Amino acid sequence: MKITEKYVPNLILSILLVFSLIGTAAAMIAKYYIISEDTFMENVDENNIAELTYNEIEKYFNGSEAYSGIPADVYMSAITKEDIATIINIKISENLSLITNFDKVPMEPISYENLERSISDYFDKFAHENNVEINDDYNNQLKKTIDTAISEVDEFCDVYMLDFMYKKNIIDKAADIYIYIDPIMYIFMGLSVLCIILICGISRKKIRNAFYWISMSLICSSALMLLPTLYVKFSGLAERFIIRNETIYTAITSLISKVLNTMCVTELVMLAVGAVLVILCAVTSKKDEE
Amino acid sequence: MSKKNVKLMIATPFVMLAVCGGIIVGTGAVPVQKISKALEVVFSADSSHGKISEIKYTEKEVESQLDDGNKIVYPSFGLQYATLKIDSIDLEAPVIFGSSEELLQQGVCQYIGSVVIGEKGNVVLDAHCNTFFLNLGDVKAGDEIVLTTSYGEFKYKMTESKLFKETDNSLISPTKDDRLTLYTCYGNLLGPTEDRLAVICELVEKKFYN
Repeated sequence: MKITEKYVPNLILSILLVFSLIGTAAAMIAKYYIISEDTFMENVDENNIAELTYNEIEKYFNGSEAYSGIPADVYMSAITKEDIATIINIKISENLSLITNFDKVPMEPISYENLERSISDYFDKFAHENNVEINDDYNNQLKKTIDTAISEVDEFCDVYMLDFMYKKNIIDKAADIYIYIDPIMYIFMGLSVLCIILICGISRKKIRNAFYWISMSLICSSALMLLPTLYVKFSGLAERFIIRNETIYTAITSLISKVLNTMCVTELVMLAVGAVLVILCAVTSKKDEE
Repeated sequence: MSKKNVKLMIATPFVMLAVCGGIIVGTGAVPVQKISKALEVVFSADSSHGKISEIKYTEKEVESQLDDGNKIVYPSFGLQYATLKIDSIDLEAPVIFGSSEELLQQGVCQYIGSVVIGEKGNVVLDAHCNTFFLNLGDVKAGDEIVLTTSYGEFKYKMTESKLFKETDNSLISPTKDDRLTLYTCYGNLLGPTEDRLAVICELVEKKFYN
């Protein structure tokens, strides 16, 4: 290695390569993994979030009997765990499409027909048994009870708080940032390729030197991403999530854990590729000396 | 390869890490500082409990002396610190300081904006109309209501009942006289209601144990 002529340009290009690799990896993970319906939905399946949500809804309606006089069975007989899973998935799709497509993708509207019918039937039965007059008050109270039940089920199914974020304009802000994710990714990818070409160009007579510099960039970029990722993963930060509602807590902390695991794997792959290149460089260097 | 070159090759990754780390820390300090406050709030829960369901309300009490020399206990949120007894409707229920959906399933709850039992003012208790206060509407004027705590016994007499809307806070507001206000949901239909039934009682006897 000719230190004076080639060391400094290679070092500068390698440092540039470190940042462009970090940028490329971060943008790719964000685009293809974090802002992805599949990731959110897989997490729902893996952690039985639909079942947890169903149980939370049942618990809520059991408690509400104390003031509404309506047994939980009236509601729960009209809702299945599959319905809950469908509602959760629709909420994920609708809100993520707002980020990625900048518009709500029209979806099949959620049907609460069974729930409405079940509540209506129970009201009718109650009115019949207690000689309650069916008038405007009765109809208003029935409508209010149905609306409250639907809104409660809807709210319980917002396990990632995406509807909440939509109402608080956080989804809109995420969409504004998401516009730049493709250009950022392509710029960093282009910069990475350019840096690699230039490093290879400088070391064209001894290509193993190029391997060395590229591997150093890979190792440094993976180390710089891996250290904070491991810190967040093992410091228990996610477990300190402030919302203690069991469903939301499980959904969000498990999603954070899933993303952190994927980041660790990506960074370890980069580290492994870097290590292989270093070994290649060392082996070829030894052969040359022999 | 010379020894000097080997040393340089070994030192290079550390140099790169130091330079890149320095750049990241330097450029990232301001944005990280901006979001760290938000992150501190979002991830600030006490994770020492293994499971969320294991989180319990604190059970600390604070003893205090009233102007007249009598001692009372300020309960913490979620603590059962009294018993409510209304013989006329055959009710005996725990009184819990504070009100939440979970606590309302365990007993009669005290509105934390009201005075602690034994203090001068309005003691406000509520419970669900289909559980502890199912028969609250049957309490008649003159009926006796007894609140028993670890520091004393307080007897009240029912004076009147009133209907009010959920949004009307006048009956649960502080009062100059010593009174007890019991309230619950009211309606002859199913489902949640905005109507409330209040039973207002005046203090007739107080006995501190100290």
